Amino acid sequence: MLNRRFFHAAFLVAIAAAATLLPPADVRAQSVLRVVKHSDLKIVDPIWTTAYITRDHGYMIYDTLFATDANNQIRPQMVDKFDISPDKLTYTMTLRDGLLWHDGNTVTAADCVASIKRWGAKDAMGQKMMSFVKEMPIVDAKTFKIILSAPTGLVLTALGKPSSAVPFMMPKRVAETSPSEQISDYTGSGPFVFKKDEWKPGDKAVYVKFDKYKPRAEPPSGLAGGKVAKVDRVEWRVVADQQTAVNALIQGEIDFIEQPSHDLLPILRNEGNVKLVDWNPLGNQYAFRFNTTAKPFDNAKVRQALLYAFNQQDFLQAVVGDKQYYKVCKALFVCGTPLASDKGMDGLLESNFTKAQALLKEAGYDGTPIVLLHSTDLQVLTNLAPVAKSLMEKAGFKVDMQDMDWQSVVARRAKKDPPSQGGWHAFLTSWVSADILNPVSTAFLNASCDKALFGWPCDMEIEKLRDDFARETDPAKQKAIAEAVQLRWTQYPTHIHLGQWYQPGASRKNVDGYVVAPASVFWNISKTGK
Amino acid sequence: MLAYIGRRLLATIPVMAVVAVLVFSMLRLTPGDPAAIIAGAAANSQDIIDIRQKLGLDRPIVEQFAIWIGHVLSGDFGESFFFKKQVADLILDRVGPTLALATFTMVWSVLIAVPLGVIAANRQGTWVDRLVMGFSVLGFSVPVFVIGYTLVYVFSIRLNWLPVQGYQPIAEGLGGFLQRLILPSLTLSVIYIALIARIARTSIL
Repeated sequence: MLNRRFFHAAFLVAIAAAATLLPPADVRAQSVLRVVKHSDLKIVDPIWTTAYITRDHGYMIYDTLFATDANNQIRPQMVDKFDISPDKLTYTMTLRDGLLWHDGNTVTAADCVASIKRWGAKDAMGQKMMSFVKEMPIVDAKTFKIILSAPTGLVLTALGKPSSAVPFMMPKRVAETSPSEQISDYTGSGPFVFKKDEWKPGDKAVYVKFDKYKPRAEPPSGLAGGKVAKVDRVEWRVVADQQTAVNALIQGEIDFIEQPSHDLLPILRNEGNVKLVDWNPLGNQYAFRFNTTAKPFDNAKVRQALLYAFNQQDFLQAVVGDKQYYKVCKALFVCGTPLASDKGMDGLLESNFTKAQALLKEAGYDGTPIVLLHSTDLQVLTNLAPVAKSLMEKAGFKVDMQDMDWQSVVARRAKKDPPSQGGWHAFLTSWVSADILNPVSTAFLNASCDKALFGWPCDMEIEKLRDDFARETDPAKQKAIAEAVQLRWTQYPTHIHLGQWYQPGASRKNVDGYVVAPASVFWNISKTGK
Repeated sequence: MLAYIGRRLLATIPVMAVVAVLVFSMLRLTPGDPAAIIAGAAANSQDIIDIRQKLGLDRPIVEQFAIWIGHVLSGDFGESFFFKKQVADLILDRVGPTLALATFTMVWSVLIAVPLGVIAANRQGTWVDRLVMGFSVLGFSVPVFVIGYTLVYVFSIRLNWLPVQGYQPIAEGLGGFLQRLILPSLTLSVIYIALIARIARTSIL
C-alpha cells in the first residue's frame, strides 16, 4: 500500500516537473536568438567608451545619420536627403519621416545636433571634424545644417564611421549628459530595445524587437541599408569558457558565437549543425604601442630599432596559428583597402637584428629594462608579449615583461609615471581594421602630445599631415597624404603594426542573414525551427 | 544556545573589520588608477582628474576608507560606476545561483558519500571496498574542470539529457532550474563525496 501511494505521488511529481521543463507560452511563441559575444556587456554608453562590446550594443539600440556600406561607401541612414553647398562649407541634412525613439517620441534635428556635439567632444575623429565646424543651426524639426569654417572631406566620413566611437543618435535630454559621464537613460531609435530590467552583468543582456522601427527600403549592405529585425528577441549570453560555449552551440543551446578561439575552429568545422560565418572580412590588426614619454622610447631611433627587429609572421603564428586566418601586411592602413601602401616599408618588419643593434648603438641605449605589459587573460592577446620579448632581446634590449590581466593593462597604460615606478614602456593590443583605415581615424597616429592617446607621441609633422588629410576631399590626394604619413611614421614610429588577422563566427545552420560588416550586428538575421 | 550564537556572531565583527581594511588597502594601494580605468581609453588627463575629484579619490586614503565604511555600515554599498546599478542589487543577483549551487553540492555530497562509505565499511577488504576507495582517490586527484568536461560530454553531448551550461531561476520553472544545476553541482561535489565517503567508512570501522 505504501509502495503504491509512493509511486502514485512520484508519478504526479514527475508530471509536474516535466510541465515546468517547458518555457512559458509567450516565450515559446517568440523567435529568440541566443548569442555569445566576445565579452560581457559592462558599460552601456557607446560614446563614453570605445569598447567594441559597447559599440555593438550601440548598433542594437541606436541608429546613425550615415553608415558605411559593404563597399566602404558612406550612405544616408537616418538622413533622408542631404545637400552640400557649392563652396563645401554647408551641409544641410533632413531626417527621414517616421523615425521614433523607443519611448514613442519623434526623432528631431535638435536630438541629432546634441548627439553630434557629445560624440564630437569625445571621439578622436569627431574632435577633428568638430574643429572645422562653426555652427550647427536647426532649420526645422527634421532639418539641420552643419556649417564649416573650412572645407573638409571629414563630415560624411566621420558621421558614417563604422566603429568606435560611432556617432549614435540619442534623445537630446540624454545627449546633453557630459561626455565624461555615462548616460543612464538607454532610449534609442534603433531596431531593438534594450531590456534594462533583464540585464544582468556577467549573465546576459536582452534586446527585443522595436515594432515601430522604420527601416530604410534598401537591402542591408554593411552597416547601411534596411535594418529589419527578423527575430523577436536577442539574448547576449555570457559563457566565459570557450569550450563550454562550443559545446552549447553544438547542442543548440545557443545560436551564434561571435569569436570562437582559433584552436576550436576545426571542431566546429566538422559539426553537421554548425557553420562558420565570415562576418568581418576586413579583420583586425595587431599593434605594439610605445610610451614615447619614457626613456629610451623617447628616442625615435630606439623605436626604429624595433621596426627592424620585429616581423609579423612570428606574432601571427603564435596567436592565430592557422594561415587561413592571418595575413602578413606591411601597409599601415590595412591591406585590401584604398589607402593601403608599402611605401617606406622596404627592409622593415623583417627581423633584421644587425640593423636593429646598430640603431640601438647609435641611439646610445644604456640597457634600461623595457617594462613590457603582458595581458594574460585574453586569448587573442596572450601570446603577443612573449614573442615581442624574444625578438627585442635578440635585438639587444633588456626586457622586464610583467604579467597582468587586461584590465590591469588598461589601468597601467593610462599612467605617465616612470616605468620603474608603476608606469610602462610598451604593451600590445588589437584594432578592428575599420578603425584604422586612414590617418585621422587611426588613434595611435594621433601625435598631439598630451592630447594623444596613451603613449603620448608628439610630432607636429604627423599632426600637420593628419590635418591636411582632414581638409582634403580628393581621394587621390588623400592617398598621397596617407603615404606621406606612413613615410613620416617610419622616422617617428608611434606604434608598430604586427599583421592582420581574421575571426570567423560560428553559427547554427538554421540561422541565416548575417550582415558582413566591421561590427557584429543582428538585424536581417532570421532563425528557422528551434 | 542563543548565547553561543551571539558570541560567535560578535566574534565575526573584528574579523570583518580586518578583512574590510585589508581588502580596501589592497585595492587602493596596488598599481593602477581607478579613475583612469573608469575614464576609459579615449579620456584625456583632465577627464581623469575630474573623475578622481568627483569620486573623492584625491582625498587621503584614511578619509576615503572612513567614507566608504560609513556608507557600508548604513547598508549603502553605492552605485557601480561601470554598471550604473546598485552594488547591493548586483550582489543579490548572484546570491540565488550561489546558494542553489552550494545547496545542491552539499546534498549530492551527503546523499552519495554516506551510503558509499557505509557500504565500503560493511564490505571491508572486498572488491566493493576497493572500488569505493579507488573512486575516492580519483575524486581527490582529478581536476574539477576534467570532471566537468567529461560529464558534459557524456550527459549533454552524447546522451542529450542535460544542458551544457546556463542557469534558470526557480521562478521560471522548477524543471529548468533542476536541469541546469545537476551537472555543475555534481562536478563540484565529487571531491566532497570522496572525502566524506572515506570519513564515513573510517567512522564505522
